[in-house]
Amino acid sequence: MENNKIKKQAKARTITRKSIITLIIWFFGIMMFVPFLWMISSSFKSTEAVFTYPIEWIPSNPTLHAYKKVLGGKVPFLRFYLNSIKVTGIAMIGTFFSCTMAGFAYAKLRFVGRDKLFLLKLMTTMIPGMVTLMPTFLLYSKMGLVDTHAALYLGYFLGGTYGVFLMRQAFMSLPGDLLDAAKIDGASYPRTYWSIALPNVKASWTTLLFLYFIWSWNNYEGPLLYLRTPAKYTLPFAVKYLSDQYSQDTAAIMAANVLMLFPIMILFFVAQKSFVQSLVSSGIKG
Amino acid sequence: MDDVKQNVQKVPKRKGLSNKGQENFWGYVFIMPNLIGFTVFTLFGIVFSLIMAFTNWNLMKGLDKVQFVGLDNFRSMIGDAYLSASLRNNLILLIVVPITLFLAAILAVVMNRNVYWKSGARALYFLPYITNTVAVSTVWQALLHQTKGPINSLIARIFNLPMKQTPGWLSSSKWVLPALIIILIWQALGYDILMYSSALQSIPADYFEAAEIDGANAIQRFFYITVPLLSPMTFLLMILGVIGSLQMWSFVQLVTKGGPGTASYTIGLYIYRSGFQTYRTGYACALSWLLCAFILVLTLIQWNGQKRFSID
Repeated sequence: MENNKIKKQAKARTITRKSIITLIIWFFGIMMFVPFLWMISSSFKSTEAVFTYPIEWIPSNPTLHAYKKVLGGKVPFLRFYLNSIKVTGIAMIGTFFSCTMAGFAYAKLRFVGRDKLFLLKLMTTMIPGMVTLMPTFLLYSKMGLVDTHAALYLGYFLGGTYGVFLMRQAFMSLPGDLLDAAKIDGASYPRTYWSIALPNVKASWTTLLFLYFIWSWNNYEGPLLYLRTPAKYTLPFAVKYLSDQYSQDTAAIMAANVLMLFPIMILFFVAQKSFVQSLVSSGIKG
Repeated sequence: MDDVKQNVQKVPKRKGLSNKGQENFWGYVFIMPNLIGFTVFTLFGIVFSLIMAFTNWNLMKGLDKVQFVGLDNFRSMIGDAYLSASLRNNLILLIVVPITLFLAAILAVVMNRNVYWKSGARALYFLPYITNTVAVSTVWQALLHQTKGPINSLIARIFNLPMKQTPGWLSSSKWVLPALIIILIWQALGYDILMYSSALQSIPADYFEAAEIDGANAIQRFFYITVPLLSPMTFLLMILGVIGSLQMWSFVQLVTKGGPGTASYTIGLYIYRSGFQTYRTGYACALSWLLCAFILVLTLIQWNGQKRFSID
């Protein structure tokens, strides 16, 4: 009896401790979220009410004027969405094939010069992207890609160093027997890659797509360097463009931000678990 | 193994290629897109940029106007006020990396064992990381606005100051770097927490239990078990963080445009400005190689530090 009581007390103690720690962690977590809360709340305020103090977290006179302003601009906001979806969609296809194919070859095919090529690739990762920024711009402009969406997605078909490393690592963990068996059955290399190797590393290429999705969707530098016509802007650059236009109307800027972030936040909270998991695993492998 | 090899020989040959030939052929087919990109953008880019670092290349004028200027670009780096301000700011901003790592390690350890609704909490910390820089910059510009911003309103209220005496944040050369440091920590914290969480999962729980039985308290367990076992991850995040921090440009361009004056210029921003706005593109190439050398040196220093640390 006595023993049982002690156990119960100990259990109660752990629960109290866990609750206190939970409170602290969630308190700081919500602090991290406060800028987002402020953004959402301000987007429903009138221009004058944005900076009133104390902060009205729930606007007393909510208004949609900011959204009307942003949505009723010269270029319809929907256009920016479509541009972003188009560019990111094409970029995903490019990344998928470029990175999984190269990763497969570097991991599983013994071709002449493979190791030397890979070493060379590895060595160039030490050189910062700023070095090739201007030569790349020159190449793209010679190819006539300035002010086209192709300038934003072409690189994904041809590049993806990080993705190649990630996929190479994944394919290397596949047992050799699996691929040998396919060979014995007379499967060609493309067939082995497509129907045997790829399905077995699904977790890794999901990670790959997640990561490149974020990078492409959030890409601000690409449009800054290459796009000129507002109707072609993708979301981040479009929001920057709108925020310069409405620099006096913070509510409108926040509304544009909410419109930009809303779908991605929903996606993130829905797919949070696999999303976070995939990032964690990429960190270990990458 | 011999069996397999014999069987492989029996595979019907295609297009008259031998087995070895097949592997060579398909190997190059598979890496072709990547190889083209690597050759054209990376290799060509590196060589071209290295050559252009010794010229007066102007992005707006054609390549036929390019002239070799010897070491002029590197000579003009000495005494370049923008460059020295940038380097100084870059060094100060590096403080973000250890602070973030320290906070993330503590939060990850606490979260790892004792929190309800763990994944929800992690999501809150992680959200800033997947938010793009445009949203980050516009929201923080408003929050940190000197005369109207809610942060200064709060500070004025708490310390009973008139608005004029509150920190100028992004519009004051004294406060701009601290402001950037706060924003950068806010943005990077979630990623480091995630990485530490994944590293923590690979530490066997026995270690902690054994230490607990031996009478080690939570702080001792943190410093004698967790910290050493996390050190490979710390090393990785440190190197990646330093490299990322030194290359940062579009974030600064968005939040402060390098200002006020040169108070928040970074070398990345200076390269972008020189290359694409003032059209001293040759000079920008030279600067990018300086940045490359800078990164290499700092990475080597960390590498050596890690070696000494891990031998102990």
